[in-house]
Amino acid sequence: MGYDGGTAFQYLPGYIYPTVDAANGNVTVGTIWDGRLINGAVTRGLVNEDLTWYTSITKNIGVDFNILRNKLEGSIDFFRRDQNGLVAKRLGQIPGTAGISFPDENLNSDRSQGWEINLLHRDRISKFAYSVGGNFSYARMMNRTVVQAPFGNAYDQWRNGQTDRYKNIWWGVDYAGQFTSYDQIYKYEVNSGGGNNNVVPGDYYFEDWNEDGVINGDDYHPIAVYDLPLINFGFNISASYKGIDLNILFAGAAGAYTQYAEQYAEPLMYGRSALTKFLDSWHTVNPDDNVFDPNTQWVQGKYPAMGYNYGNINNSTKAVLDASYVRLKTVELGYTFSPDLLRKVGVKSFRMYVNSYNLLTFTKLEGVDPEHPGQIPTGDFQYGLGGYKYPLNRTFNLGASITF
Amino acid sequence: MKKLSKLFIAVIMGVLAFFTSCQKLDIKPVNQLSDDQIFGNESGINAYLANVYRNLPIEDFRYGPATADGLEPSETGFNPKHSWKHFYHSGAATGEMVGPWGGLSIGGGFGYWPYVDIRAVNYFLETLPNYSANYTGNRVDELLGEAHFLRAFYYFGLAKRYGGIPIVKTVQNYPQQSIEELSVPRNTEEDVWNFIGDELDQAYNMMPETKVSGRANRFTALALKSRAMLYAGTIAKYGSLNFVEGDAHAQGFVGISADKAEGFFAKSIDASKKLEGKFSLYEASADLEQNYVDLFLDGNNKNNPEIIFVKGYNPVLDVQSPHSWDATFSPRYFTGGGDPRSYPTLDFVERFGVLDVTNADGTPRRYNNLSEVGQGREARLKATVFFPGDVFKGRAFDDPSNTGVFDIRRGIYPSFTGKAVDEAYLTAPVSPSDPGTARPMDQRIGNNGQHLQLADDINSKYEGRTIIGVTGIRTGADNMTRTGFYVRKYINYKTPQKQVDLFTSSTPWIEFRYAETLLNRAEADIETGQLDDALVCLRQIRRRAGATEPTLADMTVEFVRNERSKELAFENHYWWDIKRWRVADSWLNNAHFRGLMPYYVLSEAKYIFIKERETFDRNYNFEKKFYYEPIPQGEINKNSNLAPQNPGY
Repeated sequence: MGYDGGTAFQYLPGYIYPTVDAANGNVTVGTIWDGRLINGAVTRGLVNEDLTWYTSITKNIGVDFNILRNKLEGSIDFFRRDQNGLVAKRLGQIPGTAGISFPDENLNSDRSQGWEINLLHRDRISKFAYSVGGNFSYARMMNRTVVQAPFGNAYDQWRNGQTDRYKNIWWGVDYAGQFTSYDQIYKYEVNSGGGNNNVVPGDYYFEDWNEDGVINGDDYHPIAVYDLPLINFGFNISASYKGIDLNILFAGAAGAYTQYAEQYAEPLMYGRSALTKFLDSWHTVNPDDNVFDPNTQWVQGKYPAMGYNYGNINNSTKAVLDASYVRLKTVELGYTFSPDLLRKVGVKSFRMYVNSYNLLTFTKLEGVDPEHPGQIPTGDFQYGLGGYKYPLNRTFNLGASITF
Repeated sequence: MKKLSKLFIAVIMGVLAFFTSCQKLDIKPVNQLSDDQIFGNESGINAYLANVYRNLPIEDFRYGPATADGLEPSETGFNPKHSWKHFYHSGAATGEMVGPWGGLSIGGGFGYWPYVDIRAVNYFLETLPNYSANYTGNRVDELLGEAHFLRAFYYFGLAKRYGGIPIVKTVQNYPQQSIEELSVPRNTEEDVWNFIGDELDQAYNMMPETKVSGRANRFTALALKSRAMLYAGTIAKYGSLNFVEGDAHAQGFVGISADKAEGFFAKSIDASKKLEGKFSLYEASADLEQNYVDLFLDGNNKNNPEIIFVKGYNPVLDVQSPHSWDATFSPRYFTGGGDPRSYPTLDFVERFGVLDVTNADGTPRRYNNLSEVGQGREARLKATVFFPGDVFKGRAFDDPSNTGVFDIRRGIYPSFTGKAVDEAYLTAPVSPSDPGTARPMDQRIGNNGQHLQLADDINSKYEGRTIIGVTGIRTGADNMTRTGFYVRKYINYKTPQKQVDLFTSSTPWIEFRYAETLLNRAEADIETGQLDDALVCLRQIRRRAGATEPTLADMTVEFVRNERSKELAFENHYWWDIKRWRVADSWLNNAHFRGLMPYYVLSEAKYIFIKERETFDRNYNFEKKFYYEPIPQGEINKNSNLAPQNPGY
């Protein structure tokens, strides 16, 4: 398979005429001779006459089975999609004096791969019929070739290299704890910024991952992944006994992470109010105590004292939360009256049921919906979990279906 | 019947399919031209050259000399179409004017590197001869000569910024040439200036005399040569005395040995002299002041004898093509939109002679009205700046009660006693570089204990009088004069007020005019001891300007430089001049500039004028390394052969 990519007609050399200067307010390119505008022709520069579609090779190995006389059926599937010839520009190594820059070329490649299992067990014990099924999938994308500028050093390469690396790695620092006393702050040998001069009890501190005595960007290392979950799973039970039927569907995800944003991440954001959860903050016994006075007495709390810069914990294991969840998506209990009974009152069929969607959720997240928890680290709403969304409703239904 | 119709449809479909399959799917886009279409005929050539002309390093109204102090990268450099912030003028960073630059913020330039355009010229030079069969006579040579001129212009834009840069004379290609081959080293500064001179000689020899406004002819090549060779000569002469040591200097990438100066001056004089007889100064009106005003508004007139080369603007077709000079150098009171932010300094105005606004005993002279201070000044000065009390003649104002008077006051003294200099300074200024200590407004002493009235609002009144006047000096905002003066050069008085707004001015920019050539010649003459010839040139200049006749004794370097600063004011010459004279580091050394502040003295019903620190109170400092801009670091990263970087960076 192949796909189109790159600028239109990028492979054709020549001149654009007439044209506009996109960098300068789309002004017509030209000059004034004898009071008349002479439209200008602008060269396309170096073009790549070999630019082509990019290719996509999808491989799939799977087994479908049905054993134990239809009691167990399922499938196992491994898949891989390799995209080659993704359009990119070579990086600026042509000296500017040549007056040309690299055209689009088919340079980059990436890969998506993963696997999927489906299992379904079905059986009947006298009048009790049931089925139990589950599915489980894992998928991950990686870059294979990415044109990048030469790295200045090994750290730079490790930190910023993309080639043969998974996509969507969330870099950050490890949370280590909360200061509980001035004494602890004095003896703390790692500089969390500003020589710890503004640190007060209740503030968070982090692991000095590279052991250089300072907490900064150099301590960043992979702590999570962002965008869509790596693992999705579902679990389905259905059973029936005489007229009673029951249907339960669980769904969930793992390998997903999120970070609270704005009012949920910190109190008094944008100079506005705060959520009540922040009432459980460290604070001095008297509101007007000097927070930097070592004799000041503190009342412990869950959150740091007001005024703490919550920006410090962005991209740390304190702020980046495991967004895994299991959710009872559907549960439905029904009863179907026997047709013999109904015939006497002139009804063909009659089923009563009660159900609920989104009844239960098991997750470590508080206050946000794990299916779209909101913030992702780049603030880019294009990622699967990004953006502001209403949480899913929980609904209950009581109903009957009657056919005359 | 049914079967027949099915057959019929099938046949039709088949025929259609057959014909459509003959059509190529590979249709070229219609807005793309090929080399044949470009080089095969004169209109293709025009389209090709239109873009090359458009990008020429002409420092016109729209030129943004550096990215700093609120000027964005997109508003910086040549042809920043979207910019209307013309008050970010190079003169406003150097003391011709004061304005939005925080001081000398333009020293590092903006990373000019026009090799895309140079490649376009090289490609033209290599490709056009292949199509010579399409042209008659020596047309191909004429066009090639024009290309040599254009190439020289681009290299001139580079050389005056960086000194030596790589001379690329051929079209370079990748991947046909390896990155190593394309990593060309710098040429020496001397080589580059010589290359520019040679290119312009070729251009002069090959180009026609045809006059097309906005398009170069052989005289344009001479005018550029006159300027470029003068630059090279002064750089050789003064750059070898005043320079920053470094590898680039030791290897000749910046700096030219002093013994080459003579040769460059001679080339400049030669080019200037060739223009003699072909052009003359604009002397259309006997009213010298009006004549000098009109010179700059008459750029579209092909019979204007002073104009050698202009850059035109499109008033109609594209809203952003016009410039905004009129709207951004006059106070809003006289325009329909926009605001000024740069104002001529008293130091510039006093290049025309010290303003005698003080009595012998040091007290300010008393004037009955504002306009007296500007009376009797040199016509050229009055045509270059608006003085307090001047009338904006000719403009049709929206409000018929608008008298067009530059009603400028800094404030009102209820009464005034004392000396002017004591009022303005704690310690008196000696020169811009020895600027004294200004006296803060709240420590004024001449007001006899009564409150000196200042205002930010033009409507604020004291004893029934407006305090600052409709175009006067505000205590806060900088959209009215901060020196007492406004720019007059290039302001088109003929435009009715309601039409004066951003992106509405289409007055052409005069890039080369004969007066500059005369000044180039006079300067090179004086540098090489040819005082008689210099006198011939400066006489013409000063006669037209309404200035006194110069004498042979006047023919000094100082005199010709001063004359140049006056004649070419606000035309983006001054910055390059003080650089190539290598005086910027002493002239702009902790420099503060002054304004002429008019006050009304209520008890006497008189005006006084006090020479004071301009109200931005800017401090200008020129680092010696600024004599050359740094080679853009990004280019050195791509091509390590461009090292060494210019000294000091």
